[in-house]
Amino acid sequence: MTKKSKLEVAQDIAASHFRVLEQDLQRVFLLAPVGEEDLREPIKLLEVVRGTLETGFEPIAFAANPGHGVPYPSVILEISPRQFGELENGEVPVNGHTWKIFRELHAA
Amino acid sequence: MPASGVDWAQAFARQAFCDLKTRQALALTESDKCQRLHLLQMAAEKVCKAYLHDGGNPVIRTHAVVEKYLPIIYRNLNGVQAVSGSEFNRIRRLAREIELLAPACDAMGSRPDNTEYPWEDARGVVQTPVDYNFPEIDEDDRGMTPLLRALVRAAEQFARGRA
Repeated sequence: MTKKSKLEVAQDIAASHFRVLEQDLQRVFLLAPVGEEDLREPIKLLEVVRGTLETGFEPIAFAANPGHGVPYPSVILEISPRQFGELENGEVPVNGHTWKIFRELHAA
Repeated sequence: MPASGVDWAQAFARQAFCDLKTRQALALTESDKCQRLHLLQMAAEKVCKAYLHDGGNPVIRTHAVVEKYLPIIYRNLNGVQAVSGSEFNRIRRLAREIELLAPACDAMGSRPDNTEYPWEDARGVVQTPVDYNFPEIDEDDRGMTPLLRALVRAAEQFARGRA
């Protein structure tokens, strides 16, 4: 079976998160660099969550879990709608790097 | 002059932050779940002990602080009104499971599974942490993100002197 692309896996993760957080999860974005050919580059998702802690940008890393359909490591960056509104040019400064919004992902 | 509670809180929080950074790095490489969960358990325990020291409370040498105090820390950080009953219960369940990852916390022998040492299960089979899946903690559970964020935030705040 062909391994899913990072974009496909990102879509799967986003869809599952929309199911779990249907009340509070407003938008999900895949962040660049995606690094489709670089297996060490994690899938990075920006999630806009109503009521979340309004602190700095704190990426939380998760290991790859091929048995659950996630063959790449991932990073979730959760921010509030207000913080999302304050992003400039779709750029997210994290730990000295700048990640950029690449594509919005939807519930299905 | 003896060290103050705040001194101890800062020290525990700094070490907790170190554990969390290492967990983060391990998650992005090929690593074993037992090691990631071991770091999570250690970080959670230290954050809870930082919380206790910061409040001037006695801290005894025990691993059994996470189930009781982690949900309180989570609710304090997010605000009582912001945490729904179901979310609070989810955090309490996760906190209990994290506490049980320590070998010394085995629910009176009913939960020998832990992230450090082999144990014998109810069927008489020796289980090894590196080969065990720890099914009670799903790392892909979306509830893990807010919990981990709260640990990072609490560690940062206690390390600065207060939370």
